[in-house]
Amino acid sequence: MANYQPKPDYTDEQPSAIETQTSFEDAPLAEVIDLDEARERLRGMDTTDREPKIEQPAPISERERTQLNSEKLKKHTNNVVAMRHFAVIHGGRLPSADQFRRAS
Amino acid sequence: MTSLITQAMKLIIGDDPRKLIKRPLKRLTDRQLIKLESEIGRTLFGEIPAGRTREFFCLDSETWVWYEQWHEASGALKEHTIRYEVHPHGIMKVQDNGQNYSFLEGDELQNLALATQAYEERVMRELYKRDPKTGKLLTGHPGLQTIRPYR
Repeated sequence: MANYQPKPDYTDEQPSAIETQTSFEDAPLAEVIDLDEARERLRGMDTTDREPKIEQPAPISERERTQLNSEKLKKHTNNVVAMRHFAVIHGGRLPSADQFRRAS
Repeated sequence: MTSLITQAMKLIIGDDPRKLIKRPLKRLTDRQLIKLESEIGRTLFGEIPAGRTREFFCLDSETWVWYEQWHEASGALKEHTIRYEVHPHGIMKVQDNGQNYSFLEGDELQNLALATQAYEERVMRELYKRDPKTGKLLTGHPGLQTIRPYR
């Protein structure tokens, strides 16, 4: 006790692993789960009223959003130009799918 | 025989019957089609205020054009042109004859992308008479082939 020195309020040093380790002494004892019993319990449960999980789209970054919108715009541009191109070349006649693909 | 029938029809109705087949886009040039497209494009952004002229069209595979013209209170004619250029790394907005330019991002880019989508859908349906999704002719001519747009 005589050698006890209080720690400073702030230190640049990272806490050691020993200091951050959680003590399990006071934690409640983990329940031992009988898998067969758990399965039986689940069978008896009514799960019909559970709301289905709605998958939320993952948020995209601004950069990804820019890229996505640019690609969309390019696609619409190409479609319009290709259609016009064929309207000029073929007049009212229709190009075949092959002709259309070759030009694109 | 076919030639005889054709000649007879020509005498009766005064024209080659083959020309009666509806080809609404025949003889139209690139420029004329752009003008027709712009008639649709200019309506995509709501009502145009009285006294204003607006054009919005796809010029080529790399350029979209927004053009507005109006008279100021003083009577002076003003006009504003914005060019949207499709570059490999994004969409560049060019104003004031190239003095101001920047790559589009955020809501402005999204709105432009939506406008081009609406443009494609309406132009395909109303001018070229095709379903924008399937590429099929909307007029339902039998035996006509289907083209597929980029997807």
